[in-house]
Amino acid sequence: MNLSALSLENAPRFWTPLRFFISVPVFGMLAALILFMDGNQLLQSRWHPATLALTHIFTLGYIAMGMLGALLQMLPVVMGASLPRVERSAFLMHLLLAAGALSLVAGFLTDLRLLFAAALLLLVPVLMVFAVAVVLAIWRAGTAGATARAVQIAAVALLVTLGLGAWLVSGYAFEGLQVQRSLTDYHAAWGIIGWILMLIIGVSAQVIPMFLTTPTYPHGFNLWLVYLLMLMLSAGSLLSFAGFARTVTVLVAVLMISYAVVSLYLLARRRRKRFDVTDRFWRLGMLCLIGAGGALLYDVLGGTQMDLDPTVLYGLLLLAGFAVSLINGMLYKIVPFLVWLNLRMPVLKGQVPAGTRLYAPNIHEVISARPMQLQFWLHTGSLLLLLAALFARGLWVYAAAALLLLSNLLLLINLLRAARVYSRCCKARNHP
Amino acid sequence: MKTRHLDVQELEAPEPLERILAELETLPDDTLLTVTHWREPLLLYPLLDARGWQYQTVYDEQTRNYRITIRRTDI
Repeated sequence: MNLSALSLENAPRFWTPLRFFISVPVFGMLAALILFMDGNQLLQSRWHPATLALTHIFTLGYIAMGMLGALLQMLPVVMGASLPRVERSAFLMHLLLAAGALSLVAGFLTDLRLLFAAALLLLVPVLMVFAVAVVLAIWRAGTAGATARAVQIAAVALLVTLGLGAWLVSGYAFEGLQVQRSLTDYHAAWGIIGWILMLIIGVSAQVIPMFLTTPTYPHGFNLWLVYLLMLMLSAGSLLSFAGFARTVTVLVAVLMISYAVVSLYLLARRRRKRFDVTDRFWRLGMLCLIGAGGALLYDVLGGTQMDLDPTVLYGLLLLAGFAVSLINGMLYKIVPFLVWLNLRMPVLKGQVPAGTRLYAPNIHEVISARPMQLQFWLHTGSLLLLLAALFARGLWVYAAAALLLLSNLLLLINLLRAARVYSRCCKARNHP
Repeated sequence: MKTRHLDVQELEAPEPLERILAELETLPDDTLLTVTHWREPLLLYPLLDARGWQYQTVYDEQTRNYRITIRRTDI
């Protein structure tokens, strides 16, 4: 590995990734507002404009926002790769991603061509540059680790997702352009199974043992899962003969369930048994992944048709259930870690005389346990109510929206508290 | 040469880094520190470089652990 690329100077400063993380719950609250506005209608079909808006609030505003912020921090520290001019790039990336996500969501809600065109202009460059930069940064660093390879493959999947998404949005943005709406299935598959799931599978090989003191995943397990999922996605996209799509779906569902079961097995064997809210978020996320895999199998293998659009159920379990829970849980590890890292930086870099005492809080003290636990229960409650709303209709959806709003408000407060701890410590040290 | 050993496999981030740096503060010149870790401590290397420590990392395929040897003078 080229260690000269690895330096604390390359790690972005505290506020750089934090901008992304603080934006995550803000988009979570926007998701709740859309649920309030469109209520039950939105859960009836994935083609409903508000459903598309809600989906992209989660995928772009919440999930991609969290993942980009985390990758900016992880690339130098965990993979020995760093992006060029990280401070300025991150500032622009955050701005374009937030504005692009809002334009797209507003486009779905209002059906204004101009908003779709704006979303294209804002999102395509930022996500394309990011994905290419990640692939190149890891390649340049010469990192051969499984996590780095998985992240590279996930970044390629992001490019495919983006290409398909941009084409689909062009159909809304430009009059007269005929776009095959069936491409939406491929866009969703590459986005959820490719970018989101493969990235989480790759990164979890590092972060679960690192932050939750579990045993490591079986040797090669995560990378092989990523290879197989990439193979399934590619084959499923390029080949089409009788029964093939069905076979691919079954295999993908089995891989999803395998990953979730192994992860739950590891989480049950944490070396430190004390209560950890991130552990709960990950367990909940993995249960949702099993649920999604089970629902896929049930549907493909000819289960009784239910009075609901199954894709809405998959989307709910995979996005709001699996990905959102994991990201929410990780924010409670990453943000306190950043507070600690940035406050300890002068000591770590040897910039202060040996023996100098500089206060940096223990990472478990940065955010209090009780508000994090309460937020976990609000999140769990909102998920259960969303599922209830999907099956039973009625007023459940408004209760789900209320809990989703409260959950994200509390997440925002908790993250801002961590930022305040950092600011206060800096002020106490008379830092700029 | 004397050897001190530190096993940080079961510690939650960032404790491994803190423990290693704390151990190095009290490490006598004639002693080397060996550390066992389940992952390569990438964040540690630039810190060791900045302090002028020598280090060598070996990956053990069998135990799937990294063994980092750190000392004050050339190995």
